[in-house]
Amino acid sequence: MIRGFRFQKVSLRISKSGQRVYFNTESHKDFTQLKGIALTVGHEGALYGSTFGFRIDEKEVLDESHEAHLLVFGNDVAPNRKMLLFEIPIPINSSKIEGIYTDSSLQDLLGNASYNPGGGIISKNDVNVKKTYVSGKEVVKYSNFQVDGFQMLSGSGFSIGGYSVTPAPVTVVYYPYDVKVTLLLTR
Amino acid sequence: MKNNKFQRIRLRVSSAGETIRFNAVCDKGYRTLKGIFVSLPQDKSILGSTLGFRLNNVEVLDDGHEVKNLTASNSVAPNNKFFLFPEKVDASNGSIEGRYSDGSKYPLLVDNGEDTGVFDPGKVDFKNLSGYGTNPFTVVFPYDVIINIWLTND
Amino acid sequence: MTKTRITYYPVQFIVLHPLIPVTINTVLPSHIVKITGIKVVHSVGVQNMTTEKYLPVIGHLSLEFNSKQYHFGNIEVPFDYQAEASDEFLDAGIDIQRNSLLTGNYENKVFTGIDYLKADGTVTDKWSNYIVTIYLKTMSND
Repeated sequence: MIRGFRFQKVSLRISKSGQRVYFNTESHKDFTQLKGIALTVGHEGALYGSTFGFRIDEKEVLDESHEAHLLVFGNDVAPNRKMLLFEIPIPINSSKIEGIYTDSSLQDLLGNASYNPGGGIISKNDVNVKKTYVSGKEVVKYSNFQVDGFQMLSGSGFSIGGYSVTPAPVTVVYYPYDVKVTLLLTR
Repeated sequence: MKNNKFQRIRLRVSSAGETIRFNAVCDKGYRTLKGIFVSLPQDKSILGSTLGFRLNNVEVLDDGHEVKNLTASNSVAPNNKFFLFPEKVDASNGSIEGRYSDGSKYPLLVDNGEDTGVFDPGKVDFKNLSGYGTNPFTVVFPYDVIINIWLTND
Repeated sequence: MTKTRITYYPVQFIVLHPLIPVTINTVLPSHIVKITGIKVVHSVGVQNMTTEKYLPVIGHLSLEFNSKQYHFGNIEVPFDYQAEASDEFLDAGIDIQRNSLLTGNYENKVFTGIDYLKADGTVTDKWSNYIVTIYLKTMSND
């Protein structure tokens, strides 16, 4: 017997500045709805400018430039609200779940002065998050992540790429740190 | 008999990274486990700590479930402090098997200190990193964890 | 009706000068059919300029949807020193015309003193460019 809800989890380990970790997994077969998502990030300082993209069955839910800190809920938030809850649950059926976490990806955009004098919209092409879901070219294979407690080693489909980004650290970030992705599934 | 009961399970954690297994029986006379609230004396001990439990042999929260999601600070109103389960959890004759893990080694290493796996082409040896096995947020030991479970007759 | 689903679409812009307003002008992707919520945050850069835990507001943003036919109003971009977030969005219910423009203006309201701006109008090394992100909670039909 299983319950009508389940928290499905994926753990990622970020080992260096600017690192990009991609994972894919499958939603638990007994559950048909995805109701919410939350992240836990090991260092608060690591949250500034780090991004998390998320797709279900190759349909984008969170853009790759979605800031990770908007998915991390602190202790001042009531336990039942510590998730980004989807008003309309996302239907799942052993669905392909993909995520991509990029450490401090937004910082290196700060130096970009090729806009109007005051600034302007940053083109999607400039945002340091490209279509890696599709191309997979910029991601070198080597990884360590866990799905529901089972350690997974590098293999096809799991990849990490390093960027030579050295953001000005506002808060010191210690590497490595872990990122936990929690998904709320219901039947 | 009242229709609500807040039952407490108290655990003592004496060292960083300790895992405590516990068993408990839900107080008799209540049909439903409505919610749970974990109270920790130090904010620093929340990060990385996990609590999983099974009720009558059915998993309610897996062992990797973060305590962070089951607690709240004093800025949260008392009536919003409990995590309420998304469905009715039958608690009659309930027997609980639980597992609490201290997370003080977080963020360098979680998952009970296991560091298997290939991490980096540069072959980072985690055991040589400063901070390995230490207590970066300086959690003070021992401390007591109080697991509050909310039973009702709903 | 086409099947729709929730997606979150960020629009990022950079602020390069404390006194020069930023003009926003971009086409929303054609799969976005409705906007149900809006949240505006400062993303990176502000923390390079201050260690304050309280500032009134970072700036004001005025936003127009559907190629200037719908004015959402003015949004204050709050200062936020905490890394962690709340899940609150401003409620909206805007049906989006296909390939229409999202336009607007952003005015910075802080970091305008002599610490940040020289007399000749150039910025000092205390100034940091910063990024503001408009998060649109949308219904998408792709």
